Order: sequence, then structure tokens, then C-alpha cells
Amino acid sequence: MDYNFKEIERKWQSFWAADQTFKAEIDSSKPKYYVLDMFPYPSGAGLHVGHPLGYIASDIYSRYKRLCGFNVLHPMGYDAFGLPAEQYAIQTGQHPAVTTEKNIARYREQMDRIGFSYDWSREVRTCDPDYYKWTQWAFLEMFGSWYDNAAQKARPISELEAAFAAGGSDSVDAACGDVKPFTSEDWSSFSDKEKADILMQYRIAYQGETAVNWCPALGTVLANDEVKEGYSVRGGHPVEQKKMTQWQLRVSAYAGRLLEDLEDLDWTDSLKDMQRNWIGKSQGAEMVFKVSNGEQEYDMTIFTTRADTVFGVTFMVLAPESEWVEKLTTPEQKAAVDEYLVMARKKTERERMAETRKVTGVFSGSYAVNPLTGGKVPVWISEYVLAGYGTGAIMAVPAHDSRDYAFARHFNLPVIPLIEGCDVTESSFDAKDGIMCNSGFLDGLTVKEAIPAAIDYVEKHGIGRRKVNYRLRDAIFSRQRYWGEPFPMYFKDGIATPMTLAELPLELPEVDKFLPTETGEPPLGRAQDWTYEGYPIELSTMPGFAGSSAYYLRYMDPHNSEALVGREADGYWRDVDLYIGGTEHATGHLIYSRFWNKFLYDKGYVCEKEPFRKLINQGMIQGRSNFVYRIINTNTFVSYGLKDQYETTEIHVDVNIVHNDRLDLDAFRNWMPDYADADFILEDGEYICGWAVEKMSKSMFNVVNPDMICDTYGADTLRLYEMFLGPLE
Amino acid sequence: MFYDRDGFIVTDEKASADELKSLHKLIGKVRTDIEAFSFNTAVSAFMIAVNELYDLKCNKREILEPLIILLSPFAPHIAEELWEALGHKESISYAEFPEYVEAYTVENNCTYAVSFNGKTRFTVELPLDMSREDVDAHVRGLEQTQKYVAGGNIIKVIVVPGKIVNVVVK
Repeated sequence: MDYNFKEIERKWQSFWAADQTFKAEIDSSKPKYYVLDMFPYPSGAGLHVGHPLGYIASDIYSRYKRLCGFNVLHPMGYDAFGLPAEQYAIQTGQHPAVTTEKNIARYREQMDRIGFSYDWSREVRTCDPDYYKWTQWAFLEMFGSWYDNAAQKARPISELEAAFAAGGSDSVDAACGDVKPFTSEDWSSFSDKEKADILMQYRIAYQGETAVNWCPALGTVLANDEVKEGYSVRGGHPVEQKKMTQWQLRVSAYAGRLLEDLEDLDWTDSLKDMQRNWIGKSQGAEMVFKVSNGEQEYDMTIFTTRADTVFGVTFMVLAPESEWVEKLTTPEQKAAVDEYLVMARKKTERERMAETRKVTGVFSGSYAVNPLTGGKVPVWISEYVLAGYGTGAIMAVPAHDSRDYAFARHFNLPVIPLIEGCDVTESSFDAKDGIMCNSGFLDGLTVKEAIPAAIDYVEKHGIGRRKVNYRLRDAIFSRQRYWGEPFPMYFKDGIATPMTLAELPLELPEVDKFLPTETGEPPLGRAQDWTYEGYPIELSTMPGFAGSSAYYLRYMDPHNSEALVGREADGYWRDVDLYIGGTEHATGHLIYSRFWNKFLYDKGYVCEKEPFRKLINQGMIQGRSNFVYRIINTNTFVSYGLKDQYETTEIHVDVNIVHNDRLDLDAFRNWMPDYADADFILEDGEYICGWAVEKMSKSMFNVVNPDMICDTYGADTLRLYEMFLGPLE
Repeated sequence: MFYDRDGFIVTDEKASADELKSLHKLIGKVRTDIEAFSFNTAVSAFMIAVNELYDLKCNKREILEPLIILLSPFAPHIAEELWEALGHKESISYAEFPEYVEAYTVENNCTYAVSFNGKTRFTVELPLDMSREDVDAHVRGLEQTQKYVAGGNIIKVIVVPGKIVNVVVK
């Protein structure tokens, strides 16, 4: 009998929608299970082939869990703010909201056809004011908090003010920027502006100066992964490193917890390793070197993991962005240094870290004094040192560090080996192995003994102290763009001031154009009367990751107008049991979300300290390719079964013109001009194609549009087909 | 399995051991594979089970209902359709995942090589727990045995349980 899949699939899709079959309600009689897909950015191209793979897998799992008696929460929504809609708006004048709405409708239609068991009553869109109210709320909460290192948690800023009033800056151990110590008397004598500036150094959401990737043509700051080889990925415009005052999130304060709490998560080792590397914990020491530019002397603090190698320091290196560069560049060297800085500014940090072979640098003209030997060593500037790592200045030990070694060889600087018998004529000796020599009081110790011994010595002599360093940076949170969440902040007499919760959501204003203003201000500068009580409102908007950092919480309680998530809903659904998405989010979204969640946990708004218990990365989708066989030096194609009788080349053919491995000859001739006059050697009157399962890609002509499969074979077939193509991970 | 030319043919007859074995092998496999996110191997297991049940001409509700529940996460539309055809009013989405009974999947039979005066002539499938005497009697009664005895007399039948039957003929 015939199976009319079109009618039957439509029938059940309508039934599920009308019946609200998959609507999830709190039900304490059943165990909960929360299955989440990483929500898509609704691009103009529609759902691409990679999406359904993960969605089908999560849907199978959700349906399975329902059959096993779990109360399953399986929601879907849209990560709807973003650059493509804004770029499109700039080009066409079409409001991004309109484009986004249209794209969402298309995504929804495509998803509905595949028969997913989503609870659509919980849909969220990050660009919806009722949703971004809670993104703005979280920002204000972070603005109103500081991080207590001793208690290892976020606390209200009012408690910090009280502590300053009672005991000055030394009364707290807080995660903070550069703050000059002050007493309680100092505090009470400070003006409002001075107090505000100091508190800003402690806030978890704060404004501070930082080096950013600035793209003048786009008029905005770009994230590292939006820049390649000095040009913007979108549009190919030049990008430079620039210091700017930006809103930032003090993610670094949470580095230790983000690292430790990875242990309990059911994630793959490779993903955990990516996060560990990103967080980049290193244990070592901070040490003070006296530096002098010939006129003035300073104490320069550096971080090292190898305090045992201080006797081998033959030079120092500053990051090009380091504030030491200005202080330590001598007049004689100024021209050379300036030239070097211009060159270095064009590269992103990631590129600088990746470029290990090319050695570049310039001498600052200043010298530092080795605190252990009293020896004088030159201070250089090089891009292989990153401003954000430690203090942006390092001590260089070329005998035992490969990058220092390359630099020393290139610029002809001395190399002093510190381990007995090690050979440093060709390369450095990086292993932490062997017996120390040339190292004064450390001679004769093993390296493993020498590291703590050196730190003890340094601490005892007041030259430095033990320190744990993290590579994880604070997140830059301002974008000079239109299509994002406005900051609910205004500037009252130069002091950044939060709006009250009653003012939220602060909705995006209308603008005449989606471009920066003529004076170079962000697009919100074009809005009429963008003020609050007569004071100017912040003009930048929040970055893409703002809206995706807590969306999983909103799904638990999407219509709550009083809270991001109510206590009852949070207490029942708790966390995501299974999260499915691509590895491209391993160090972005998955760090920010964990940070955001931990912050809300500290403040008592959520009950779980981690958001995603189990995480699966769906792999690249596999495709079934088809081949034709062209006889060498001819335009004659021989069918699969006969190909061994000829010398042939295997050529990928578009799977959309092959049916059941049989080639549509006319379609083939029309496919590409080269094949217009192709001849065929057939078997039984048909051309049979060869096939293979490979990565799905345009170049292999095996990309299948999910709509096409749904039309021809039905949704059930698409689901089975995608699952059958290969393992998920 | 559900329909033939004349319509719906699912019956309430009791399932056979072979049918139960196919089903329960599938239940076990699908459950483990889903838990391990190994969906491609689960899909293969469906193909194997459906082929086996098709060969057995299985049209029994006792087998087909759980089969459809197992299939429903993967192919929910056709599963709902068949579920409805089986007389259910509620969506299959909240049915109960079938319980896996290992006992059904255990191999119950074994293959005896039957030889005559030391020469193996044919094999026969018999229950694993069949007694020596019953095997003896069963083999004596086989048509093929008559053929190889061919007018002679059976002196003795030696049974090695689970393995060999040797018929001594004179």
C-alpha cells in the first residue's frame, strides 16, 4: 500500500500543535529532564544542513526520555541580535527587526516540518524587549556587585563601600583593577566622582580602558574571531589595536571556579581541555625588577612560572601595549619603537600567539636590574608578549624558554644555561628536569626543588610573592553597533549611573540610519532624545553573547514578568541535563554562560552552580556523495559497473541530479557547461553512479537541503537518514 | 506486518519465542544506543529486527506495539499513525518504553551435527535443554535418518549434549 507521508506528517504535526503534546509543566510527581539545543542565529539563508543533525539527536533523546517517564523540558528560541542583520540594514535600510522577524518565520517553518517535539510556548528571542529586560537586569546586578576573593563570591557593592569607610582599601581582598591604597579617612574625604572611579575598579560589570580590535570602516570593536590577518572577516576592512574605554565583565575573577568546577561536568575531555587551556592557570611568582630609563627608576612587577631561572635572565620584554613602553622608551629609541608599535597594532592577539617563527622586536633603550644577581639587562619590546598575560612584561630566560631563545638568537643576546650538562647550542632546554648550576644558592638542587626554593627566597627577601596567574581575561562588553541590547546606564556629571529596575526594559530607540554618526559615535548617537532625566544614555550596545548567556534559565519560566526565573521554576528545572551544540562555542558562549550562571548563583537567584550538566558536540555532518567516471582525455562517462574496463577519473557529481544512484543524463548535461556534450556508456540503459560517505560540503556536491528530503521522502526519512549517516560526535 | 492488500491484519495472537527474541534484542540495543548517543547503530538495529520479523511474518500486537514505541523517537509521524491504527487514542509520545527481558534473547536452541557411522550427514536444531533420551528419539524419528539408515538397523545412538549425535548402523 502507499504511504502518503505528506498528509500523514502534516496531520501529526497539526495534532501535536493543537494538542500541545510537548508543553512542559512543573510536575513534582515526575523527575525532570531538560534537553537543550544551542539556539540558532536566524540567518537569511535559512536552516543549514548542519543544524538538523543536532536537533534531531536532541529530539530523539527528548522523546526517549518522555517514554521513560521523565517530565521533559525541550524548548527552542532564537539568538536574534547580531551583525548580519545589521549589515543588511546598513545596505538596504531595512530595519534589522523586520529582517530578523522574517528569518525567524522561515526557520520555524523549516523546523516544524521535521517534527521536533519542542515546547513552543516557551520560545525566547534575545531581541524581544521582554527578554532583554533580563539581560539588562543581569548587567545592572553585575554593575552593583564586586568579587570578594576571600569569600570567593560576588557581593553587593554597598558592602564594599561600608568596608572602605570602616577600614580603607586594605580591609578587603577583592578582584579589582589598579587601585592606589587608601585609608578610611581618605575614603571619606574623596569626592563623589573619586569614589565612583574607585568603585568602578571593583565592579563586576565595569568601565575600563583596554586594547581592542578597532575597525574604523565598520566603526566598531571586533572580537578576536571576527578578525583575520589584520582585516575584518566581514568585509575585509583593516583592523587595528586601539585603547578604548569599554564596558567589561570581570570574568577573570571567576577563573579559579570556572576551572575547578569543570571536574564535575559530564563533558568530553577534549572540550574540558579547551576550556582549561583558555582559562590557562599557571602557578608561579610575581617578582619586582628595578628598571631605569637613565633618568627615572621604577619598580616593575613581572610574573614567572620559573622563579628558579632568575639567574639566567639576560633581557626583559614588554608587550607593545604595556604602559611600561611609554615610560621606558628613551628619546634615542623613540623613532624605532614608534615604528614597531604601528606594525604590531595591526595584528590580533591570537595571531601574535600563533606566529612563533617570525621574531620581531625593538630595544626600548632602558635597562633592568636582576634582583638576585644585581646584573644589568636590556629591556626590549616584542609582540610575542601579550599585554593581558600577567603584567604584560616578562623576564626572559633564553636557555630555558623556546620563545625567549628564538628572540635571543635573532637579536644576538646572551644565553646562560642553568642546568648541568644541558645543550643550548641549537635550542632551549625547556624541560623541568636536571640539576641546577650557575644559579648561586640554587646550585645542586633539582629543578623541582629549585622552583619552590627560589620563591621562598624571593618572598623572604621582599622581592616578590607566590601567585596564581590565569590567562582568562575580562570580557569586553561594549559594541559600537545598533542591533543589540542598550545599556541601562546614563552619565550624570560624568558618573556612570544605573537606571532603576522600573525603567527596564530600556528599549532600542529608532534611528534614521544604522551607521555611526558623523562625529564617530555609535549608531545610538543618532537617536532623538536618547537621554534619561536630561542626562545622556550610554551609546554602545551589548555584544552577541549577552543574550545567549542566560537563555537556558529564561526557558524555565519564560513569561515571568517579575524575575528572570522564579524560584519555583528554578527549583524544579534546576539546570540543563543535556546540552547539544557545536564546538565553535567551546571557549566563547560556554565560558560566558558558566560565568553568568555562577554570578547569579552567588547572588542567590539560581540554585545550581553550573548550567550544563552533560554536553555533546555534534560533529560535522556526513553526506553521501555520488561519482561519475570520465574516461581519461575524453568527455565520455562510463557507468559504475563498466568503469574497470577503462582508465577513468572519478568526479564528484551533484547528488541532487542523481536518484537511487542513477544519473539523470539531461540534468547532468545542463549541470555544467563542460558536460553539455557529454557521452555516456550505459549499463542496461542506465548510468549507475558510484558513492561514498564523506564530510558534507559544497565542494563534494553532496549538500542536501533538509527541505528537499522532507519534500521527496518525508520528515521521518530525513531523521533516520541524518542519524544513519554516522555517529553524532 | 500491519497491513496487507486487504487491510489491517494485526492480531492478538501470542508471540512466538523467535518473535520475542527479535523484539527484545532490539529493545536492549536501542536503549543502550540512545543512552550512548549512538543513533546510527540504533537505526541499523531497527533494520535487522524489522527484517527478522518480516521473515517471521509477524503481525502480532504483542510484538508490534512495543516495536512502534521503540521507533517513535526516531520516526515519530509514522509511529503516531500506526499507534492510532492499533486503536490508541492518546499520542504515542507518552507511552511507556518497553521493558527489556533478557531471558527472551537467550539462545534456546543448539545445532546438532548428525552422523552415521562417523560420517556427518546433516544438522538439526533442537532445544538446548532437551534430554538425551528425547534427542535420541527425535533423531530416530527424522525422515532424513530413515534415508541414511537405508534398510539397515540402528544399533546405537550416541548423544553428546549440545553437539553431536552419532548413529551406529549395521
